[in-house]
Amino acid sequence: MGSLFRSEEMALCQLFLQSEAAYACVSELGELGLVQFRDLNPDVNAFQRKFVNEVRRCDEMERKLRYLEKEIKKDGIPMLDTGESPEAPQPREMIDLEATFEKLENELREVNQNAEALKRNFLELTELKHILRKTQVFFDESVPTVYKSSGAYSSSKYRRYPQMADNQNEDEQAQLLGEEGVRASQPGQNLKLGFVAGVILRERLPAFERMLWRACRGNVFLRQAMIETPLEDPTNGDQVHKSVFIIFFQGDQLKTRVKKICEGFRATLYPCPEAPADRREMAMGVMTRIEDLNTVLGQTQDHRHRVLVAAAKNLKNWFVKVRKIKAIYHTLNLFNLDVTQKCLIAECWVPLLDFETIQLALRRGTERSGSSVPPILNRMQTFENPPTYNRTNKFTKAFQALIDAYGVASYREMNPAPYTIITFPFLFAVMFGDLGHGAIMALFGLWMIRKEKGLAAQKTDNEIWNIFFGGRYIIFLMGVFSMYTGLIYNDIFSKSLNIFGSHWHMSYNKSTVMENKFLQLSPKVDYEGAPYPFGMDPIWQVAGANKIIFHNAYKMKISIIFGVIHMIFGVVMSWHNHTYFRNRISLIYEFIPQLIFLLLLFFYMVLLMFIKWIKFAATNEKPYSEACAPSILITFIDMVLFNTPKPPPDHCETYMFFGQHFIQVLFVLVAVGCIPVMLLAKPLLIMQARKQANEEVQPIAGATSDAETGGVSNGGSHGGGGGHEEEEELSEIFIHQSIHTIEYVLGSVSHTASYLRLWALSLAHAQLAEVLWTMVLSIGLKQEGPVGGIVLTCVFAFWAILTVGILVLMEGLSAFLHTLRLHWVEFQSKFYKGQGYAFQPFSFDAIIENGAAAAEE
Amino acid sequence: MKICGPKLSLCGLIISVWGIVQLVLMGLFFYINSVALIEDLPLEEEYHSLEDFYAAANRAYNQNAYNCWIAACIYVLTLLLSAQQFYMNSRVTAN
Amino acid sequence: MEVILMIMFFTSFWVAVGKFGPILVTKGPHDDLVRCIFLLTAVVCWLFWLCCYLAQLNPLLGPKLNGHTIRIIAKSWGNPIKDG
Repeated sequence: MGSLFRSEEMALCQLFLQSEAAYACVSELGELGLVQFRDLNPDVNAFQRKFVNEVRRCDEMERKLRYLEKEIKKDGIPMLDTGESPEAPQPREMIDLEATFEKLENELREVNQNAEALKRNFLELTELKHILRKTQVFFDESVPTVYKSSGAYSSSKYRRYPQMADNQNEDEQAQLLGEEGVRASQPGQNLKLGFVAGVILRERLPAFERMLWRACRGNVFLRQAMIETPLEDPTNGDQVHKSVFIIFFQGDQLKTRVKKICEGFRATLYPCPEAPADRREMAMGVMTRIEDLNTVLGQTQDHRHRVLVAAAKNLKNWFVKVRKIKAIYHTLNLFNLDVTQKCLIAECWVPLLDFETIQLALRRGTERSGSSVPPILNRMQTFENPPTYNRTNKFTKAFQALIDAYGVASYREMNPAPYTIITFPFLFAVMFGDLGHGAIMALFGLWMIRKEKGLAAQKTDNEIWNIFFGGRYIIFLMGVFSMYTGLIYNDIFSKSLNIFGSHWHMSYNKSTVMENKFLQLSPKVDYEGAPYPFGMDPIWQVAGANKIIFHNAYKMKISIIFGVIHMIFGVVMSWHNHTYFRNRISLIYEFIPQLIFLLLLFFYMVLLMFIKWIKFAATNEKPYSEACAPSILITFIDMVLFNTPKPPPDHCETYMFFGQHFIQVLFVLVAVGCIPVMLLAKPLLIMQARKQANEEVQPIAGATSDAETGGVSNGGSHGGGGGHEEEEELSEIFIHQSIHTIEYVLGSVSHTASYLRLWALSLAHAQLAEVLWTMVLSIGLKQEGPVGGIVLTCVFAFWAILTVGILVLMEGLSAFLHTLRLHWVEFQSKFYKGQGYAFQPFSFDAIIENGAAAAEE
Repeated sequence: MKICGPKLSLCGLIISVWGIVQLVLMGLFFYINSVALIEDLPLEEEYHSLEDFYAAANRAYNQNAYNCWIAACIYVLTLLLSAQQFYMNSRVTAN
Repeated sequence: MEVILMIMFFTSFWVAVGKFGPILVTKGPHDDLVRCIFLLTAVVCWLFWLCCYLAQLNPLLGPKLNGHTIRIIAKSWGNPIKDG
């Protein structure tokens, strides 16, 4: 049976593969994705395995492909993704692939290197061009502009001695040197001034300037000008802003110092001829060279682009191929070598149902490799716990994920997922019941389901979207069930529909109506005798004064009713587990007392609720009139604590039916009597069985008793054991059992109370919806006059956004989490162990998907 | 002419459709004097006579019904606008 | 009488859903699952309806309405206010 109710039956198999056929067979198995291989050389490290070279070559190929991908992405070339997955290539094709990638990579690296060199050249020339242009301006400038120079230190100096500076007007060099230089030298004697010109990053300039000033004690003069257009850094392609500077100084000592500082600040210096004519000539030369370079650069870029476009067509395909090869060799590394070196031995977990399919795949693999000896697949006996494999489809996958998030089922344990498909959306809907909100949710889910293929194809990294999309069937079902519960609650955006006509009528006369602000309808006179056929009577929605009282009584009761039934359902599931694993002791001494405990106490309370609904009515005579209706909760508390109930009002009776007192005492006594049975019976029986086994067969005592009593659930994990170990285990069993019992007994009380969250959340949801309507939409509706329509338009949009944001998204999330808790804790604690480990088959699809995801990050 | 992006136009599209459906229905319910919507009427606290009250209630119901329909008509306009925007956006991304 | 008829009607409706619902789904490898889904749906929906119905069967208190609502109910739901 391939159903979801229990995980698949698994078998541990041994696989003998002919060395030459191994590759093709593993490749076929990878396409199939139904086999989980076990590592047969766990103590051999990764570098000593047989196919380590091949894996390394694949790694190398992958690296090259990633390099190509990076380059393609840099140029923004679209990559062709056909979505199809090519078969794993033959081992000999690997060499071709390697050669192709090698060639591509080398070509690309060469092109890149050339381009970089060219770009560096280009940058240098451009900088030189700028220097020539800017320095020309400096040299052309006349004296007055020098005073206004931008250098902070020099200008402040000038301003200190304006008159002295004014006197200087001999020649260009003297002006640039400033008053100090002139003062120091003999008048009339010309000084030989040197200068250097270069380019520096703009943000380094202030520090550079300060450094120069300090190091040379103000004996240099710096002029700078910004290069307006940003330049491209050839090493990483960034855009950087730079400035041209020129430094004048006197003497060789200063020159070396200045050059050192320039070096320290990574400024590039360029030779700049002193004579204006030379400079002009040089500028011309630079311009022509730049133009030549531009054409060469363009050609290089074109070539690179062509190479990349060609590669982009095949890149995804290549990635798939390489990843497949790598996965195959990785798997082959897990295998054992036969002594004769002729064949490989593998161990694997296989679902029994797919035995045939796997053998077919193996045969195909053998044929493809041309080997004559067929592979052998043998079943092995094992005591190990097999992995848990639940075959899911797109519909059941999300529900199984909810269960697996709590814990993967133990092998062949009852799987709660198939029941969760309905109970989860239903319990959610009890809290979320509103026709309008449910419809929004259902439509959203339906849209995702209808557009499934298109949406699945466009993979996104948006995690929230992926969660929504993965849970599309859950969302749809939650929406549909919310619509149903909304109809029953008769809530659509907090308003009611009157489909069948209210079953309440009004029989007050005119004067009463005019005189009273509030009037309560009488259940005796104004009620038709039969309720509104489907859901809540619409009159309750407008009964603002006592609607909540009525709703609370109703919703509290249904949450307890559904909670108790849900828990009983969980306990019954444990019966399926015990019978399946032939665990008679647990069945009789655990399941039965548990069920009795739950039924006699809590299901009895549920029955009381139904009795109260049916027996007590306003139209009845006392003792069954509305005034005599007892509180179920008080009755229940009195019952458990053996309290004497409070005397009822006149003409009423304490008990609802004949013999209730006797039944209640009996029920409580039996339920309490179940507790010691749960607590002690199982460990005592195990102890007894062990003693007997010990007396009968002394030597293999441990093994037999373990097999008998430990059950299949943990059977086989540790085979026989000595006497000492056994003693320890017995005490462990006692402790385990007492914890289990305490958990169950206290749990059934607290879990029953926990189901009241159904009431609380549904009340909160209904109230919030109502508040939103009266506080927001009502404002728009109550506008008088013709502007009302326009105001209503705006208010409605606001209301709609709030409805989706708060009521559907936030309330939906909170109801979802509460439902999840009710399933994980209240329901599953009754039967679900969740101690298995998941079946992880060797599958190309999964590997390629994971590889792609890892590469994205 | 492109005014808003793809997300905003989609949002406008959805709210418009929702607005049209719900407001037309609500207008209808106001028009047939639905009891469930009584709390959304602009009514005084007290009326002198029953007839006064009924007249006022009737007026308010009709008024609200028309307001709802007016708002629905405005939403038809926004629907057209956002549909056109949506079309423009989808054509831009398609090209 | 009406009450019993209603309960029988809805019970038989949900029984029908639980029993014949799976026919609507094309046969496949998950027949058991489909049957389980329909059965559970029928049970929970039926019980939910029943609880709501029974909770209103014998009301212990009547709705408390304000004056405006009473008057509109009298007019819209067709039970006119008596004179006097």
